[in-house]
Amino acid sequence: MRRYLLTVIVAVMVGVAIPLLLRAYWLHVAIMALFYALLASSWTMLAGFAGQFSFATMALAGIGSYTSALLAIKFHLPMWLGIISGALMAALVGLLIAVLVLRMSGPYLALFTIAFSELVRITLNAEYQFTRGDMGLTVPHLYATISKVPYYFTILILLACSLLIMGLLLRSRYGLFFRAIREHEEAASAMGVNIVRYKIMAFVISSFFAGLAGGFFAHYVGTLTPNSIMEIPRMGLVIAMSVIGGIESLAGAVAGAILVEFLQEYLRELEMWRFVIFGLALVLILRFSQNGLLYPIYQRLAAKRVEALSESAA
Amino acid sequence: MLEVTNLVKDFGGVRAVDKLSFTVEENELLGIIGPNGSGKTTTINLISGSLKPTEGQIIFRGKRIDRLPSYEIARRGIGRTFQVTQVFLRMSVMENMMVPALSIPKSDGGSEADHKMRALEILGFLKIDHLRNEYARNLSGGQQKLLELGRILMLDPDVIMLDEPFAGVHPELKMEIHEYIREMHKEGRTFIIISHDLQSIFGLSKRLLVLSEGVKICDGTPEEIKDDERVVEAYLGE
Amino acid sequence: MELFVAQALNGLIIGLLYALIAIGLSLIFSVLKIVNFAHGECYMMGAFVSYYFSTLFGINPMLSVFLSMLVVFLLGVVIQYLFLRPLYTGAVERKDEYAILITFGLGVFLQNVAMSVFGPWTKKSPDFISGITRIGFMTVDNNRLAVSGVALLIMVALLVIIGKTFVGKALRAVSQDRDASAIVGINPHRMNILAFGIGVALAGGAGGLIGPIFLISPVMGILPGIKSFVIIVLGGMGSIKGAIIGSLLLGEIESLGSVFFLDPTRGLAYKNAFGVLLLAIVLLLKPTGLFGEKHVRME
Repeated sequence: MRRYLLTVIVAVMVGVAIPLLLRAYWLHVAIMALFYALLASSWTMLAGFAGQFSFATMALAGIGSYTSALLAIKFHLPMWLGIISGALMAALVGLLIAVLVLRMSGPYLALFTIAFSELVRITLNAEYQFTRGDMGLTVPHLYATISKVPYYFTILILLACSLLIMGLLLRSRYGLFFRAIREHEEAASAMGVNIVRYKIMAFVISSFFAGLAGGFFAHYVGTLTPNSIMEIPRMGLVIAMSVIGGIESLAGAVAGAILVEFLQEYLRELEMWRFVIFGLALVLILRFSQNGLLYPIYQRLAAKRVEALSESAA
Repeated sequence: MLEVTNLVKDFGGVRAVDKLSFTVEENELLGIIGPNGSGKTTTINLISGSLKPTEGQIIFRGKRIDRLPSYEIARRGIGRTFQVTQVFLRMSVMENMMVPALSIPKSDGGSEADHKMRALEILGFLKIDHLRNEYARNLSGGQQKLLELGRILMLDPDVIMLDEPFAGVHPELKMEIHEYIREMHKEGRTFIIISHDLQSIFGLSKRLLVLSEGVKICDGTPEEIKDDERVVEAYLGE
Repeated sequence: MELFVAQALNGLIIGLLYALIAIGLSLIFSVLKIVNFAHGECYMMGAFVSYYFSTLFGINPMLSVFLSMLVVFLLGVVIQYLFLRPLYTGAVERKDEYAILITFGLGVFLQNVAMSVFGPWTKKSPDFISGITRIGFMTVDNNRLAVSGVALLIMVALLVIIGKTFVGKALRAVSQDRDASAIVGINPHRMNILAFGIGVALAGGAGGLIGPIFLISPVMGILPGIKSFVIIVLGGMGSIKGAIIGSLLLGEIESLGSVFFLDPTRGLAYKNAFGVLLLAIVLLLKPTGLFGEKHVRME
């Protein structure tokens, strides 16, 4: 417990110090990294913990984006309210998806969520009277200043709160139920776990955070197109981040997101090749180290902890 | 206590269970035997809610349970194990035990610490408490079977259905499991046990149900079963 | 009326190409029991390989298509051996998850490789046969005729192989019962390789065939990939007959459906939505599709 707190404090200190160390362009990268971290961790909770391998996360983020953007533009809703509304809208859609996929597993669930995402994307593109489709929707910025610093702290706080909530959830009995569902749904049910309720819970919470990220994205970037946020390859990027960092931990998702995002900017001169590298990394890690790059490190830390415990017990 | 009436289960063109009817009294230990494919596991699946019957009803303590989801049936007091052990592999033994403890709000309350104590007791009874922090996937096959038993006990059900508890287990462990079942039975629980191991099941139960091709062909004491023509034919015919 | 018939014909041709892709996917599913999420990208690779064979090496466009099928077949064999084999040798813990993630990951990888190596711009493959033909009151361009003809040929050849030859019977045996096939001497691993190779080769062939008719680009595989999923779910996973019928159905629905929209831009925009909507509906109502078998869990 103490070690956990220590890591959190260090992370917070590093997080707060970043704007002092990075200037405009790289601060933007950091903001995007945290944005992706929020998405990746919400996906990890849904897939790595609860076993629901959904491809709808980006579409839900997009729903959050467009809801927030349109509320601000058409109804002049204060943007904070808009972002929360976007998150709630995403959560609602997540609820719908959860109910629809209750009886689906594995590839069927994957296919359905892919289909769903595409449907959302196509609809947003087609209804261009509302959404301006591919031409781009101009969204009011969250802050009047051109400095990126307030945006950075916004996403940092959003991420921190989300991780806190998800972390507490996953450490509680609900996390236990999620994992049991992923391990063996039928056996979990035979052990009394209400799989309907908890699958829905996982979807709704994960969708809320995805929508939250989307809402932030809209008012940070200022322009919205369906393809910029919702295309399947971008979902692939989020999945890659989660897998590379370690699919079974929130910290892994965050680490993976930060790693991949910074690397991909750093390697920008390689242009398209950097995505090739990530694709390759994703596939190789899946193949040879299913639990991500960071897992061996966790294992060593955990082993040390067990050693320390047994020593103190002796 | 448990009444099964005219149970039918069709899978596409195959009828796995055909108009099956039987009752189980409180604190009985009913054995279900029969050749492969006779519908034994399907019957358990139907009672536990993993499968929904095509026709028929199942009544437990006076209430119908055949259309309920399996977690609801587990809550009402019917627990089961699986033919192929289904422990949660990437969770520790202790976590495995805590899932059934926490999933059902117990009437007598009980904090997490209480549950942990109880889990340790049960693990101790099954002689696997030294493994409590071990990942379930690192346990041997026999240890996993014991963990499954432990999980069921954590659930504290009135009816325990065991699907092949002796399968693939070495003789020493078989005797232990035999004893555990006997003790649990003495505590007042009701058992339904599927087994191919005729020796073990004859030793445990006073009443056996024999299924063949989804149909009940005999219902009686071990002696009656052994003498019954149809039973002999069913086993020899396969 | 003319528009209707023209669209219907279009739908048929598209349907035939979808059928090739979908049959490939169905074959992979029935033998390997996995959904190949990289299928659309294999289609795309076939298109590009064929393009380069005919433009860089000046090989006859139709021959290029067959050569590209060979190349994609080999690619499939390599992928199967490197990444999918562990599913069947017990080296993987969470089989369903792994299959989804790794094929999806490979798809994304292939797409990015294509973007980097071939460039993100669209290209056009040279015609098979230039010019047009008149049939009654309609004009059809010869490319489309050639494509339909070859697609039909390949389909028939495949059905013959699966139905009549020893290899085909071996494939069917493995799809029905892996262990039993092994007992009678069929090597399931080899059948896996064969099934996957042929499956992706079919998609690659479709890609090669579509080159002269539409433009090719590294992202061209995403939508057809999704549609092939639609088709096999609609027609039933693992059913080849279902794949063919489903493909023709989808081809027609797409071509004719967009006619009914009043606003042509919207109609066009929603064209791709029909298939996806259909997929969602079928998954909800009858996941086993029109003709298929129940999804067999891998463990």
